[in-house]
Amino acid sequence: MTEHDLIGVPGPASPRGRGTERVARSPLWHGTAFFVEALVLLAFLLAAGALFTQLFAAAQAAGAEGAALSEAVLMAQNAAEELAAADDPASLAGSRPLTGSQTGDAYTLAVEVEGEPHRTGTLWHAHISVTDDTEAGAELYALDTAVWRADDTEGEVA
Amino acid sequence: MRTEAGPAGGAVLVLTERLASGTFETRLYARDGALWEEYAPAGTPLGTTQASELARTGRFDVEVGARSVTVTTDDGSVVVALRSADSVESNGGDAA
Repeated sequence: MTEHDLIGVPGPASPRGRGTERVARSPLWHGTAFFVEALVLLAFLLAAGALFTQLFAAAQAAGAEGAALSEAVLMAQNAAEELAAADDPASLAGSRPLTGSQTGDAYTLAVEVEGEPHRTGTLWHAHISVTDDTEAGAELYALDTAVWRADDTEGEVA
Repeated sequence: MRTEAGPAGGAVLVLTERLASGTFETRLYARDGALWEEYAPAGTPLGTTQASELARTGRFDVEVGARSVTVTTDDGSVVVALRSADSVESNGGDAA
């Protein structure tokens, strides 16, 4: 027993006692902070994951759309060149299915030809369009061209 | 314009250019899995001048029609209408 105990005066708290009190409260406080911090981090990760997923999906869709558009442009260009080389442009009118050489997608090439008679020949106007069969017939690309065919001589491209 | 048999049995598309200084040819052909282009005086054999690699392709077929040329590579086919009169030389032909 100490002198303070004998005279009934409370003595100073021992350093061991104060340390024990701190140790008893710290795990609860630190645990709550860690839990909140983990929740915030998890929310951030989920938001970032959702954002990047949307970005990658949009990039893939844009890439597929670009590939389809490139094939559609090439198909329309080939049809225009065939028209320019044809003896009878009207014979190319109509629709026909095509398959993309790179994507393997199905397309429909439509060629509308209309003749404009002139005194020495015919100016053939053509509207060429390519639609994507996998996208409910959405038109991917279209172009207008014309070719001149003289009545009695070799044709020339307008 | 004409086609010839090229290296490894492939086709060579030859575009002739007649200038005051002489006749020159642009030759397009496939070799070693690539499409090559070389510009050389007419009559010289293939590969004697420095050729440039244009693209990677294992296929290079040339089909010459009456008024058009169809070129097919690994990436697909392209049709080119011939605008000039008598574009195809007499010794040209289908080399696909």
